Amino acid sequence: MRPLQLIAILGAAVGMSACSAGLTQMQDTVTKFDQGAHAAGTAEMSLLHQVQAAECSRNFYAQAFSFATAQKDKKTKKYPVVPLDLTAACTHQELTDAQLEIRQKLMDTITLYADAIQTLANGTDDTNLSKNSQSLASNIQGLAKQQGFTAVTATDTAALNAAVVTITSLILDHTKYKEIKDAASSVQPGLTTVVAQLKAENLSDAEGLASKAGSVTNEFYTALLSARDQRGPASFLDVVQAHMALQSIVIASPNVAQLNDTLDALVAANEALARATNGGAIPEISDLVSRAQQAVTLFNSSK
Amino acid sequence: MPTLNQQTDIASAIAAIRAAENLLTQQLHATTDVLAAIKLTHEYNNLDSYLSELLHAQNSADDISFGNATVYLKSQASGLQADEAAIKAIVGDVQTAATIVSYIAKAAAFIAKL
Repeated sequence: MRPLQLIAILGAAVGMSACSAGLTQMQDTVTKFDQGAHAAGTAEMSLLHQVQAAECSRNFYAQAFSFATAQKDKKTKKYPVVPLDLTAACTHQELTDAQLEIRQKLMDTITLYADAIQTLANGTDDTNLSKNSQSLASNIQGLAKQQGFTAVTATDTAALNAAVVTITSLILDHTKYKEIKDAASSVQPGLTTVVAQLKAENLSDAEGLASKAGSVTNEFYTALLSARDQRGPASFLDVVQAHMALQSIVIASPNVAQLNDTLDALVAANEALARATNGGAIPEISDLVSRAQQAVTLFNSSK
Repeated sequence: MPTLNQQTDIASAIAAIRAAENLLTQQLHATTDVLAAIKLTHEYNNLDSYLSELLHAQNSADDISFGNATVYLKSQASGLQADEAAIKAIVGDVQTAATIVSYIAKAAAFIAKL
């Protein structure tokens, strides 16, 4: 074999090896991005369910407080009838089930997108997205086309729905994208808009949770004032009991900042994907995975 | 579909109610009188219920549910006025009472604009 031929063969082998390694790295990177997006979705849904649970808890304890603090009529010396339903079913009114479903679809838009680019990284076509995923993406797109998503504050509603349509269009058909970076780049503005909306909604939820935690805590505090009046130093035991009970009753305002930081990390990770050529270690992806895992742990531990 | 102005008004009303709640909690922790504490807690709970309605309106994604939510909020405005009067009677510190009432009045004004 002539030296030039040997060099050519070696060069081709090295090139193929690099190409193969690059593909593997990119698949690995996108898999991590997908995992991070799903973990962020899990934390987001935990928050929404906590909002509903906190309303139920608040409703019950407000009713119990009214019952316990009813004052006897001065003339009849009898208590007024104050309803107390110990087994009442809870109907969510602050965040209804229908409203929660819409919020979930906004988050699903992101996780379905992450799934879609993973199929792209794997070099497979749209059929690798499950029928259920495609159906969900179509459903979300239909909702967005009817302006079904509403912006909380600054984000324009029309822009939000347009962003969802853009992202779901890529989910449903990403055959025109040959590389991850092209797909990530085309979705980046829409992803930023959707994440801004989710963050704004999360901050409103945090206000609601803090208000309800205050409500229940104030009820306990008032009851303890009364207990001290009646039992003196023995009310210390009531305080201890109240402390333990509150830990299990109050849904502490979760660290929404942590969740919102995770959503920001998601946008940053996608932006990094839009720049990436062959995967490898991308700090933004690692940051997303780390933050998302922390958020899931945090929300699971706060009930 | 709520307009940007309506969305901003709801967000401002939420902030005003939370500010009033925080001051009520401070007053609660400053009292040793059980009856006053009960009344303060009831007032807080009234505001908390109202806050839930505001958050529900904020979560509304269509004209009908948003319309229903705002009609309900406005129908409860008289309740806020009653709360203002009650708080003036419960909170001993005139200055603090006036501040709490001003927050509630602000919330009511934002809601009236919806």
